[in-house]
Amino acid sequence: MLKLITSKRNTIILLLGLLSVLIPICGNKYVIHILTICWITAIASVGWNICYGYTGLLSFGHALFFGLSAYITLWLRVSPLQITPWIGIFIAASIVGAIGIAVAFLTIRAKGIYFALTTFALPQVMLIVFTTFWQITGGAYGVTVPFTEENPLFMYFYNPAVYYYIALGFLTLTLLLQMKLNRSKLGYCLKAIGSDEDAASSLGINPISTRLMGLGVSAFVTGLAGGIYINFMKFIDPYEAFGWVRNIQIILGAVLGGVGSIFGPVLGTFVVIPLSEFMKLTLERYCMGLNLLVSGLILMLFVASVPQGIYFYIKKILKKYL
Amino acid sequence: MSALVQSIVSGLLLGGIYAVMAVGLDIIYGVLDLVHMAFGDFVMLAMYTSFFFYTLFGLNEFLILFVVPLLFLILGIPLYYGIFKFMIGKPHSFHIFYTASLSIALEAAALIFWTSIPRRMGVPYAQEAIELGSIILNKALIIAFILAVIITILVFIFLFKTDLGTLIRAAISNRDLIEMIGIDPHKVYLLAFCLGMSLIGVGGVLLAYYYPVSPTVGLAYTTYMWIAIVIGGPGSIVGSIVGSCIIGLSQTVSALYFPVALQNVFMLFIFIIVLNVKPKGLFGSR
Repeated sequence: MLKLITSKRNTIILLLGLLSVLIPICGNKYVIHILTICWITAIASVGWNICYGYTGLLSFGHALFFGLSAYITLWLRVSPLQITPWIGIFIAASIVGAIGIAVAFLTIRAKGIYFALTTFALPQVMLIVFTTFWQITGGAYGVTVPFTEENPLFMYFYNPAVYYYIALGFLTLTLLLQMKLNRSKLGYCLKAIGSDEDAASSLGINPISTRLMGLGVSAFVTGLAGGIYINFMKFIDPYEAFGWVRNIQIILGAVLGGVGSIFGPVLGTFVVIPLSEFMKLTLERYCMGLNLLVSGLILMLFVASVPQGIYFYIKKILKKYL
Repeated sequence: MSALVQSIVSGLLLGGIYAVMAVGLDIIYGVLDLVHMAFGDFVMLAMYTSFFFYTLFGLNEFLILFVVPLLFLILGIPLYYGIFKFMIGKPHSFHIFYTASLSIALEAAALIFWTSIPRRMGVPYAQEAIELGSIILNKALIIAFILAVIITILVFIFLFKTDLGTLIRAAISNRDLIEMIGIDPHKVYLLAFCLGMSLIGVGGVLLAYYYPVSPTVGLAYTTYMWIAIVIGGPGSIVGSIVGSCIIGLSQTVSALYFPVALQNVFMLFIFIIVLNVKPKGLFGSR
């Protein structure tokens, strides 16, 4: 136990963890709100990273899993069964995981850019379907979580800090899951497929089933994020759920943070979300779209100058000075 | 029956216009091995450019067809050296992230300069129709289609009958060979990129004859064009033309039986089927 704490890496992680637990004490509701969104997106980003960071399958379809899970959690909540979100989130994430396996099955022969293009089209199609069949889905106006009294059983709280801790708890859960995955047989198989599929299959790893499982787990984790998101925001519409912005937010966190690392996506999201919110606050009042223009340019610079991700750079610097 | 014929013909007209841009994207992807996800946003810029040339300067719409592609051809040189050159040889995922950010920036810039109001070029015959037997077709669409076919044929002549065109085709089939026979590959890349840019210009002008333009149209065109060239098989010029005809047909024919909004769903179905049956595309060899 002592060794666990004295190791430099664990000390840093512990300190950061403690810091994130203590943040709500500051009491600023805006900061808590932004950081909650940040942690939720980080969960989705971790999910995306399981797909791309391990197997090298560049997915642009994770908004699909995110949005569908949010909708399913809500439907379970308003259905006659009245399933509480505490269970509903996991049911929805499992359903979305199955959808992830189905998507992997449909694109089983697609590699590299072909996979990226197929998944690129999926959320767009889902957006159209959800706006077209508005009688069932609520259409472009979106749907809201029914209003109730403060009710812990249905994940309905007045205090935003509670959601903050829920999101943080789920994030910790997914990070632990990913650490477990890192050391498991599935994790090694996924990495083997990612680095060289032919070599991996010659060693007896079934590339198809591994790929299906990988995307399934990835979709499950992203689905968790969607379920928490709807219970936190209490509202969702197809553009929020499946829009291009959602996709970019999920992917960018992982890309900027460091693809393939455990803490990279969290770190990246911690940069992306507050940055975009800050831009929105400061620049949007001058001119609509200016914040998007600036963040697009910053992103281009980032991607061009730090292609490996922030995480690896910070690691390098820490190694030098610690 | 005549409704089916009508939608097939209009689908082919649409596919013919898409084909010009698909060939441009195919050349860019084939020669530079560059995954260009900001493609549709350049189409959007071309549509805006032609809109402003037409309404502000009162240029003739056929003159615009020469001016805008020429402008984009010249614009291609600084763009290539400034933004795209250093991407060559990097992994595809890097291209996608980089050009996707470029796409966000371009879309936002268009929103800032020209607001989100959709604009129509308003060519005088955009509201007129031509009757051919039992089918009725839009005059602007037909004229755009005829011009698109002429330009595609010109591009074919350039690619298959001239030395520069042969160089481009050689680069598509084997990029390393170019360096081996002692030609500076960056010159070929620049040539291909500028050719692609001018074809984007042509496509943008022709689309603007009939379709309105707003800052967000880019993403749709990026998707259509990529799906078209992947269906046809990247690296095959004929394939990308066939692919864009399939895209056009799927859009109009599906609209006959299902809600118009679902036309892209069918496109995706065809895309997934082709990917599973022939992963390299219908005419692909790479």
